[in-house]
Amino acid sequence: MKNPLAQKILFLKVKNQDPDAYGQFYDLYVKRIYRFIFFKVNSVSDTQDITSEVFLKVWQYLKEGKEVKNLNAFVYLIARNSVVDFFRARQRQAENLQTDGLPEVADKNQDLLGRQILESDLNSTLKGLNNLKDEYREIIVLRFLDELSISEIAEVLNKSKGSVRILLHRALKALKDNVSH
Amino acid sequence: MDNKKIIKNLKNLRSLEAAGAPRELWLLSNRETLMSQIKPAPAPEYQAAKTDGVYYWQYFSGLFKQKVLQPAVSFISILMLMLTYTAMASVASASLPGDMLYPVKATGEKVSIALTFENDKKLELQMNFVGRRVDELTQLAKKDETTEVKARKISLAVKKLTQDVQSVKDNLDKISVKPEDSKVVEVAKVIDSKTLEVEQNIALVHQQLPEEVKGEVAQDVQKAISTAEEAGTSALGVIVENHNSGENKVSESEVTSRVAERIKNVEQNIAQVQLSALQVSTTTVEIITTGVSAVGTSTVEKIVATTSTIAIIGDKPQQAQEAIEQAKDLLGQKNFNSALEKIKESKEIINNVISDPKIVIPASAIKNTILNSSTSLIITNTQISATTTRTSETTRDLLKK
Repeated sequence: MKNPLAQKILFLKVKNQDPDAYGQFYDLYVKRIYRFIFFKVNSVSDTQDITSEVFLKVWQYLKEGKEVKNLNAFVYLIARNSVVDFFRARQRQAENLQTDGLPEVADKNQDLLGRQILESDLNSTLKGLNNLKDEYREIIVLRFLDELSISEIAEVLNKSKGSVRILLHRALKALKDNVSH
Repeated sequence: MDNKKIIKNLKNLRSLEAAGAPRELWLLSNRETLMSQIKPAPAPEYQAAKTDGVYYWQYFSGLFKQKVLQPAVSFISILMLMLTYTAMASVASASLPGDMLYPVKATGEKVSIALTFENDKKLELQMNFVGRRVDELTQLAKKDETTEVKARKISLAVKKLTQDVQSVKDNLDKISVKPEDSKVVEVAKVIDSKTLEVEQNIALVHQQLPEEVKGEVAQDVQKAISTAEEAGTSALGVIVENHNSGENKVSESEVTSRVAERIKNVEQNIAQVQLSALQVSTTTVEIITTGVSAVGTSTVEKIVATTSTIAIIGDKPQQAQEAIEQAKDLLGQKNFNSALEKIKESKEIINNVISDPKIVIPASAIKNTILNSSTSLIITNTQISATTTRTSETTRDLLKK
């Protein structure tokens, strides 16, 4: 949505539990949230499940009349928590995946990636991104793919703005190293 | 690969399925599922009634509550206040006495004076404001208004003018202890010349006023003129003192010409008083001698009003003229201080004649005047309101006879 005022009004309608507005809100956010989750779980079916769950959770939260200050950051926060819940459940099922076991997943995905995209700058960037540790990948996705502001990221990650900046700087540097090697 | 390129690539990743772009089909089916899950719960009625306007209001009122925006909102409020004040001040600068915004103008001037600390600058500023008062008076005189409104406004303007001139004089008296201060002397020169202009301008405006208004404001005008005269004389005093102290900031010829100018001014005043007195006296005598019955009641009233102003001033103008002659002699001898004293003395006599309403002619004297058609009595038209009540009875008695 280009018009920031219209977006603010939409958010107000969502906060006031307007279902149609929530539909528009879904259209606006689903791709971003999907991607955010995808980079964490690296499985299309899991991403789809978690994404559906996130949008339902946000709606239920609003229905309970709880106050949401920044809806933008709040959706990411719910998505993040849902991913954490997802990995916990997996762990309990004694499966072989751990919360921070992403590098392995990423490695597993290398073949898939190889098949889907050509060897190019874009490809190497994606590879580099997938090879990053979870913390770095998350912040890069939030900042450059989803274009969240520093303060929104700080809210999602529950960190200060200063440490978000430092983390982002390190993540970008690590990505640069990954890409050039 | 540099940062820019990496960031560009990251943005381009959005559309790649491998980089987490969902399939369109899934997006749609998922939306449908979601909507079916959330829609069944009907929204409460009060919420259903909400229009977009309500949301816009909620958004804007929310802005004022945000911590980040609070300073911005306060800043904008202050800015708006300042803009309003500036706009008001600029509109007020064109206002005239009696207008709603005039107090804003007056307050603005007071603030400017209070914020000026150097004596000479302060006096200069005050003198500028006196100039403004004269302009206001001229503008008011030209305005087309009812007699009552015009008289009230002119009276206000003249009073404000008097007040401003008085404060110039007060300030000058306060600081004139140091006549060697060249800056103050320069300002004194300005005041000396400008007060003469002010006096002439006031007199001119007064002359051009409609007859009814003229009578109403006569006293105020006279007060303004004499205050300007006093301020001018004070300024001249500073110049003379400076010359006498040997500082030589002011040349002898300049002092001479300035004192001469003052003398001329006082002489004009004396002549004016004599002239107007004669005019009034003659008219009154004429009307009275034609007989009351012939002219009707309204004229009787007029006579009552005019006659009641008759005052015995005897040889006062002559005394004033004598003082001025002495001043001229002293000026010839370059005795500026004494010349100035004589000017003041002469001016005082004239002022007493004009402004003292207590000297009222007794009935018998008026009778004599009428019988002899004598013009030895000097009548001024400035005391109408002050003396009407006191003498009207006497005059009526007289007229009956």
